[in-house]
Amino acid sequence: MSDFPAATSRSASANPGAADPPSRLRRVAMYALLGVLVGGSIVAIVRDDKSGRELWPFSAFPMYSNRPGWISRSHRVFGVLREDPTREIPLIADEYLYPIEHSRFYMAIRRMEESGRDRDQALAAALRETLERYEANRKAGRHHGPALRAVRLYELQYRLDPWARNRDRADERRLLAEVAAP
Amino acid sequence: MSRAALLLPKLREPWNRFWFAPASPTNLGFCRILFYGGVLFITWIDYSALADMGGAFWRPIWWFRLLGFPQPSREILQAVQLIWRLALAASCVGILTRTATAVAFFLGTYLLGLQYCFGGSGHSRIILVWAMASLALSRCGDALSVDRWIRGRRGAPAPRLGGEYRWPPRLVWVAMACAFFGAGVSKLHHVGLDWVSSDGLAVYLVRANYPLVRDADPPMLDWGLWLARHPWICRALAAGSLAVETLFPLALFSRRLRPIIVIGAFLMQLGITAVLGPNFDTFMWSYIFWVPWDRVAGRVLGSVTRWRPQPLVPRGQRLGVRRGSASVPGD
Repeated sequence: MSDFPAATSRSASANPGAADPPSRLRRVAMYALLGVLVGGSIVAIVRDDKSGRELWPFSAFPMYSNRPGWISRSHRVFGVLREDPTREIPLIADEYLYPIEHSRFYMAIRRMEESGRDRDQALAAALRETLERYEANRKAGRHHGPALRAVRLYELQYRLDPWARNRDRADERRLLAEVAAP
Repeated sequence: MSRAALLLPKLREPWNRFWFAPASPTNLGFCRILFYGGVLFITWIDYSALADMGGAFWRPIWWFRLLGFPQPSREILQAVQLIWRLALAASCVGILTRTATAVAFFLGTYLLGLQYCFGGSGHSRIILVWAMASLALSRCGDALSVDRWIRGRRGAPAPRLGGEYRWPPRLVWVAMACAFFGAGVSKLHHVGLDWVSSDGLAVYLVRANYPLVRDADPPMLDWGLWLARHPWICRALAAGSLAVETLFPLALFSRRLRPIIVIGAFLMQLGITAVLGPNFDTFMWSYIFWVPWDRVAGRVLGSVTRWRPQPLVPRGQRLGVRRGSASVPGD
């Protein structure tokens, strides 16, 4: 690659007036791209939907844009073990939910819960698909989790502790939906 | 004449200088190699698994709906991701660079967008789309590429300094400025200055340590619990991050503030990953566009060979502007 010395050599810097300007076509293309980027970003920032309905690839980047309280409610899916129905494991690891990431999986669940009509059918279908995908991934060796007989969606409530001493046990737990394997 | 009409010619010069001041093709070549190499590594996942998803989670994003793209089959996704990876590799080393970067942009935008058709969209990888678009429109293969090596063997002269090589990294700067500014405005819009004065950041830091509460990956460290017990540190961090986000566009215009703001934003994202959890890998990789690689390489070469790189424009002198040219005094 012989062009590095030429690009920074004394001869090049001694004659900077010889620099090539961009072609007109490329300037038009660059301005068009810039216009789309800035215009789309302004629309996304003005619209700023915190629920995740973004105008991808434009976004208002609403990270940590709400006022959280010390009492936290979250909805999480648990799997009921096939070998021991009294035991449950939380489905929060990415490999259990593959190929959807944890954050987008629960974003989708939350959106289904908020949808008024067809809420129960949508949730049941999503939970059934989650169970089937978990088992398919387990059989394919993509994760080493236990076999499941059912999945349950719970609402969990925590009073957050500054030392996180209660991180493993929710103060309240309410069953919202359950789907069993056929 | 109105005041705006008088102001426009004055703005024209700094505008053209910002975008089209002569720059080395080597810097853009370094950016191309690092960017595509990094993207190839960071985005190496099996996109074809998305074909096995059932319909319960299928919720296409707006332009998938607009263009009528259905959920693709596994065979199609396997072919698309293979071509995308080949295009990324070709863009990295600079083989058929124009074609490779264009293919990398279109297929990459499709595959990254497809991920967000299941569940909900995320914004961590948006920056890749704009960087790929910028490089696809540029002459990033003019230096440090196999294409250039072949042209050199055929007797083509080495590329000169040019305005062609200035704007592509700067467009990525603008994309990053839009992202940070949007994040800052969003906090002010939804929470206001309470985001700084309340204990909101302390709550987020504690939440990140609850596996069944947090919305992101687990944090690398549990230092957030210690920080959360010191309200004034949390408020100072909240004020600092809000300032970096909302003031980030100043990094585009002020050479003095640029290193402070850009390094501040980098450290902020590193800190967020460490104590709150979200992974900014692709976004943080895009900071390579802020580094003057040709100068870094010149320094490294200079320290080895005692050769000192010369400044583009000698101190106290300004570049001449050719009539009708967009190349203006050096930045």
